[in-house]
Formats: sequence, structure tokens, C-alpha cells
Amino acid sequence: MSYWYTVLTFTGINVLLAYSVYASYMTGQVSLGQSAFFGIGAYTAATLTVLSGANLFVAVIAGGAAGTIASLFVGVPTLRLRGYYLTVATVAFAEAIRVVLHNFRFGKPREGAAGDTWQGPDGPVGFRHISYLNEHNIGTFEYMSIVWCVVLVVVVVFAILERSRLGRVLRIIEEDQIVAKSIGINVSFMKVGAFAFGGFLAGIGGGLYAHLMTFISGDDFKIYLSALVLAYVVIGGGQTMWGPLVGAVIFTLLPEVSRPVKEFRLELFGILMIAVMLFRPAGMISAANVRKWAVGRRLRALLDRSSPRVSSPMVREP
Amino acid sequence: MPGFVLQAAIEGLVAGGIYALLGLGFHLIFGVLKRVNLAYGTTLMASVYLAALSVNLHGVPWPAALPLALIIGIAITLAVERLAFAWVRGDGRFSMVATLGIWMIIEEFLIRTPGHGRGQAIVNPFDLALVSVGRLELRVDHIFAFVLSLALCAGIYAFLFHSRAGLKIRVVVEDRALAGLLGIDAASVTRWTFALAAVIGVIAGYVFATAQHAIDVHIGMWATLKGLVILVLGGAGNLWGVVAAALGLGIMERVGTELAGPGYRDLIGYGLMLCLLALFPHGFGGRARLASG
Repeated sequence: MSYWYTVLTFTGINVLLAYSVYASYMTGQVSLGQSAFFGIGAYTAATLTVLSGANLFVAVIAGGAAGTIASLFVGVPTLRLRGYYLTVATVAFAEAIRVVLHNFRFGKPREGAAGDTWQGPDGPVGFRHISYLNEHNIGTFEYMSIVWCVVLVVVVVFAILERSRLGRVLRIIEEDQIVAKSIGINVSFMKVGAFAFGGFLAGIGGGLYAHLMTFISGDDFKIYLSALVLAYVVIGGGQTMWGPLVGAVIFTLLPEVSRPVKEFRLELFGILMIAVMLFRPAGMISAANVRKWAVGRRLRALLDRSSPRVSSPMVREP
Repeated sequence: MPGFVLQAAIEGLVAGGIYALLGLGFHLIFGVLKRVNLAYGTTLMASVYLAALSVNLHGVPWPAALPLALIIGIAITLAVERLAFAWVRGDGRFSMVATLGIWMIIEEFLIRTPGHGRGQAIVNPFDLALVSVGRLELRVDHIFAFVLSLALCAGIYAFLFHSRAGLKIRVVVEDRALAGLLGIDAASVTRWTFALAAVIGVIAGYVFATAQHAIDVHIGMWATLKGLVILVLGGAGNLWGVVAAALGLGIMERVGTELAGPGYRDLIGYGLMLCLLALFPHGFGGRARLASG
């Protein structure tokens, strides 16, 4: 059972990552830097719990803050420009950060340990002994609950965002930047804000990931991770907040239940990405689907039976 | 200047020749055609890799490797052009995501070939021959690569700006509808430009791999990374800006490695790129936009 708790914890972390891509996708920008923000968040949070004995909550928030700072570093110069500068810059950034994390050595010798004598990130060897969960007796079920509480908060934030004026502003920027400017929207500011929020979510996800894994290294944060997470959003659907959620959940769980899918995971994602872009750029769940299903409205109607039904004058007589 | 720094700078300049060739390929696709083809670097690597694999496993004579790599490179690039650009409609974002999918498929495919994505040796006809210029020592193959790169860059410049075919490309890029009115087949011109970029890129990849004596799947990421950094540094619309950026990057990386150690070499180019974007948003050369959507 504990295996499935871990799988579900991974699923939750992937949902966070998917939303971190989705935040800037809403404004029409494609980021491939999520693996870098994820890695920076992971290293920051793990360093805080291992070397300074910080609380998990504080460490993970600090990881999110580190992700935000890193994303501002990339986003501020590139998001002022039109075109795909952000994508180009994040591709290079993701690779550069992987190299840095791979070479990063910081910390102190471990006391009373034979063999592994380093505490903290140890260059190409990686960052070992992130044992916060063990030391504080947090089991796999508890940790899964913690991660999914965070996911729930993020989902609620996006649900509110999508119904708000701010959400519509972001969508206008996606649709047409010139129109957005003409009605007085500060386009660059909004794009940077959305991207930085994405960096925050990726950093939080990284902090949670590091403590789940207990061992991380620069090679965990290759650009393929960014590509996979982008695939969750694109295949799931980038028009509403349901796409990233459904995409991340299905494509994290599918390889676990089906062995061939696990083996040919990257090919499958590649083919699906091309197929979706060719035949259904809106992804599995489009905005039109969400309007049609209107789950929320139907639920409310069910609960609110007493309200008088308005019969349509257009109803055809049998 | 201490001798070893000068030696490093010259070596960097020579390495910059290969960067220039690579940057030129990216310039044709991203800058001239305004297509964000993220599968380009991987395509180059895959063609050289498959050619090296057929030499090593199937006994193809080594001089046939480059022509073979060129054929594979052109085929893949034209397939990418069909699949991700001609057939995907709407937002440029969608084409970009499709090329990312192609990137993933190609890399996974190489790992499933008999080579398993591991390094494949490539015959280097110059081996490690050195020439001495004063107190400097230079590798012959590096000098050959440098001269070849600059000659190709000059050739592409002449082609784009002093030939009828080059004029056609520029008309198509400027205004597709107008090109149609002038009787230019825009789709065919686009295909030819893609093929040309594939040729240049594969030559760059092949020359680089030969200087390393081997090729592995990491060259794909290397090509993408260097190409994009050079493209942004040079300004997407300017061929000579790209060449200057490539040579400059080569020198700075090599000297930086000498002074700061090899681990952080990739950061030099990356840091430069971000600083430049912050200060001069459109690169040193020109104000052309990078494939705006």
C-alpha cells in the first residue's frame, strides 16, 4: 500500500508542476525552464532542512521563493520581448542550471558516519541523506496527505483565478497582446507575474520532491522533465484549469498500471504531443467541453431543486 | 597577456568557427524562416549518429559517413517541416510544441538503436596533428574546421543576398502573399531553405563530432544550447552578428574554462545571453524579432 501512497505523492507533485507550466501558458508563453525551478526549489529546501535543521513547511516555502527568484531572473529580461524569447531562454537556462547543480558542493562533514561523509549537496555524487521525514516519523500516508493538501490549495487558487478579472486579463494577453495593451493592461508585468507564480509552484514542488526522494542529483532535473510536464498541460488541455490536473494525473498513473506504457513513455508522449497539435490543439479537455459539461452549474441545480424551472418557449410539442 | 591565455583565446576562436556554422543553421530556421524548430539540434545529432553507427556496425566506408548524414538530416528536417509546420495550423506555439514532441521521439529512438545512444567513434583523418605558429600549438583539424566554417558562412551570405534563389527566400519571408503574386511557390522555397539549414547544421555537427573523435546523444542538447545562445547573442535577423557572436562565445568559453574551471563553462554563454537580453533586447545586430507569433 505504501508503494501506492508514494505513487500518489508523485502524482500530486506532478500536478503542481503542471500548474506551474499552466500559469504562464495562460498568457500564451511556453516555458521549458520548469525543471530548473524545480531543481532549485529542491536543493534550497533540502539544504535548509539538512544543514540548518529548518522546519519542513518553512523549507518548502523557501524553495518556492528560490524558484520565484530564479524565474524573475529569466522572465524579466525576456518577457518584455514579443516572440518566443522566453522558450529559447528557458531551454538554455534549464541546461545551465542542471550543470550548476551537478557541480554544486556545499555543506559540512557528517559526524559519526562511515563511508558517506558529506552532508549537503556533493557535486556529481548528488545530495544524499535528506532524512527529514524519517527523523520526524512522517509516514508515506501522512506525506501524501500533506502533498495533496498543497495541491488542493493550488487548485482552489486557480479556480478562483479563472473566475476572476485577473484570469480574463491573462487570457486576453494570450489572445492578442496589442489589444491587451490598448485596453490599458500592463502586458509585461502580467506576463512576468504569471511566470513568477509558475516558478513559485515549481519550487514548492521541488521542495516536496526532495524530501520524498531523500536523494537528489543534478541529473534529476534534465530538460526532459520540463518537456514531460509541458506535455501534461498540452495533452490535457491548456484552455482551462482542468486540463493540467487531468493530464498530470492520467499520465503519472498510466505508466504505473501499464508496463508497455512505462517502457515507451517518452515516445508515447512525443507522439501524443504531435497528434494533439495536429488534430486537437485545445487538448483533451477544451474550454468548450467545460462549458458543455458545466459540472458546477449542474451540481448547484441539483442542490437547488426548489427553484422554479423556467420552461423555454421554444420547446417543440410532440 | 600570459601565454596560456593567448593559446586558449586562439583555440577558442578556432572552436568558434564550428559555433558559427551551427549558429548559421539556427539563423536560417529561426531568424530567416521565423520557425521555432526545437528539434533542429537533435536532428543534426541524430543524422551524424546514425551515419557513424552504420560505419561502425555495417561496414560502410567512413568517407561515405558525411553524405549519409546529410541525406538523413535532410530527410528528417523535411519531415519536421511537413509535420510540425505545414500541417499544424494556428498559433506558432502549437508548432513549437510539436517539434518538442519530435525531439523526444528522436532521442528515444536513438537509445533503442543497436548503439543504445552510447558514444560512436568517428574517423578523424587529421588525427591529432599539430602545427606550431610561433609559441602557439594548433590542431590541424580545428584550423580546417575554422576555414570551412567561415567559407560556408560567406557562401550562404552570397547566396541569400546576391542570387535569385536567395532573393526568393527573402521575398517569401517578407510577405508570403506577395510571393504568390510574383509566381514564387512559397511552400517549395520554405522546404528548400529547411533543407539548406539541415545541410549546414549536419556539416557543423559532423565537424564537431570529428574533432571529438566520437558522437553521442548529448551532442543534440549541446547543439541546441549553443545554437540558441548564439542566435540570441547575435540578433536573430543578422548573419554577421551571428558569426561574430559565435566567435566571441568560442573565445570566452575557452578562456573562461582556463581561468574558472570546466564545470561552469556553459554558464558563461548563458550569463552573457541574459545580460544582453536585459541591456539590448534585440541582440547586437539589428532589431529583427525572433520568430514572433
